[in-house]
Amino acid sequence: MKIIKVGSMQSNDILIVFNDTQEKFGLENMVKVIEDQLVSEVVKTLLDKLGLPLQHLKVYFCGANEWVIKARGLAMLDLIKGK
Amino acid sequence: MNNRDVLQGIFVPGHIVSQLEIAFRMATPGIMIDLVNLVPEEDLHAARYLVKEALNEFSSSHKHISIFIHSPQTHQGKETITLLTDEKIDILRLGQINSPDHIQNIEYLIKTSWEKNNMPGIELVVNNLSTFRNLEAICNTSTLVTTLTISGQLREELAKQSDLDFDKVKKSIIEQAQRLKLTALDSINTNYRNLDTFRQDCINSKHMGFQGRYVIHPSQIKICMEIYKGV
Repeated sequence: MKIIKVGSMQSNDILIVFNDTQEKFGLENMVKVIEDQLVSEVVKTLLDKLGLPLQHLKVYFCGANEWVIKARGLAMLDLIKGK
Repeated sequence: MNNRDVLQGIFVPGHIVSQLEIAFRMATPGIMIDLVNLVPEEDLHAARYLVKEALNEFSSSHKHISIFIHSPQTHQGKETITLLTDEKIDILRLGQINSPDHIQNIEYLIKTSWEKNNMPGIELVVNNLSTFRNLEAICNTSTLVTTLTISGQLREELAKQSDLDFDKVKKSIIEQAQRLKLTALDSINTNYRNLDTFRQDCINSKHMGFQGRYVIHPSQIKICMEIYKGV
């Protein structure tokens, strides 16, 4: 089992956890003033665009803006590829 | 932007999103992003990407951007430079440069990583005796060093030596900076609770010849602007 974590649960950030044994995308929206559905759409779209394997990801959204989601996603991609 | 115009900026860790966002939106002329001392080793990889994306996101902020990176002679430094190649960075803050050979190798790496009209300058951190003793030779070899900065680590190293006084070392560095037409920045003062003490330290620093310093807390900004820039 390979588990990789990028990001944090701090305010304005996002925590992305890769688990190669997980088979379904998971998202926890920690910012209750934003609709879960909206957060899920934005996050999934951005991470999918980067080429990340969504089915192996669990994401904890803490209010990250798009540039942060992109940064965390790119770092995760690198680590998944073993760089 | 002439480096001499930028006397201070806010010093922030490169791995904390909220602090990066606040710093880019703050009314300071510059920002110093630390990828060395304040970032845990396990967060460095992700922090590089955060900094890269932040530079793009906040490119319209027109701030003077300085980034503290590991020496490009280390694998951490090389990886950071690889990722930040050609990004709009005004200054790379570098420590552990102990000889003219070091600076030559580092400058070669920088010159092959950035376009000529986009090339960052170097802020040389004098953080050990080796750098201090070879300072003139290092600066004379360099074409990119624009700034000399004192580090608290130098004070610690000097405390173990009986024959060198920290204030005399600081004065020597300031004199060399003036002779070589470089900017001289004082070390960070972490005292943001007792602003009277901080103010006096800035006054002493300015009197000694320093042209500014980085701040770590918004409460220090106004005092620095007033003392170093007379604003």
